[in-house]
Amino acid sequence: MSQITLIIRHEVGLHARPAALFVKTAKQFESDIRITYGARQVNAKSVLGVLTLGAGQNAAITIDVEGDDADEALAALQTLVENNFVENNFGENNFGEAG
Amino acid sequence: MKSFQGITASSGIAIGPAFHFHRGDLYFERHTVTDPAAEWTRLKVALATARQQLTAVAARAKAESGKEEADIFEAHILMLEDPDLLETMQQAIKGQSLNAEAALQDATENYAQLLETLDDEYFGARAADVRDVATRVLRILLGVAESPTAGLLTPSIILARDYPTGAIFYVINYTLIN
Repeated sequence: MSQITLIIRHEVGLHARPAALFVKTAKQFESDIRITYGARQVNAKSVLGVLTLGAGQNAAITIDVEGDDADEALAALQTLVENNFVENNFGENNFGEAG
Repeated sequence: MKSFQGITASSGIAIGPAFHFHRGDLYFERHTVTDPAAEWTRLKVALATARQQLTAVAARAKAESGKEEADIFEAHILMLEDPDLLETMQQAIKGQSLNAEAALQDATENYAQLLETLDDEYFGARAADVRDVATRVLRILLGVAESPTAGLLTPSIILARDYPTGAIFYVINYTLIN
């Protein structure tokens, strides 16, 4: 099991486009991915679950990943959060664009 | 003269006829089904139809209004595909022999209420999105056609309790401009 704690810097939090990007990224992996924020833990592949965390700006979320592609999944989610949800569809780099 | 108070969609003063928006009758009865497998298939077909509709709306939004509007409908698609939502509905239908309409309503309403309890404007607004998606699927299940602008023939001031995002887009593009 791999785990990491990250801070959501995005102004709207894990909501709207950041939430959609987070879920889309998580869905690319086979591993079981859970996010914990406060007392709630949800499936990272469930957009409704992720939204109900209510993780706003500066929220510290903990991501737990378990499975064959756990390391890749964790790295991808970490990159997404640390780049403040600038779209990066693996190979299709959009880092030149503003968030 | 009657006066109404509400939230405006755009600023300024408008004078014109009032158009009262109704979502249509989406009444259904909660009951148990004799063939849960067939009921689950019925729901999956409705979800696939809703997905097709939303994909078309998102593509149109992207072409005509830009990525931001399209993102709203893409978020709706993500909700339709939500694995936890699907599992909850499947459990209600296959485990409790509940009809598709009731299973859909229960599962989506549970999420909508959770979002409302967050006491945050951003997240609370997503409750309306969940209900919007649920209404779309319910409409398909019940065979109730969506015609939000039926009777809206002249530019009008639209009065509505909770106007669905998809319908707003429809009105802006097909009525107000003409």
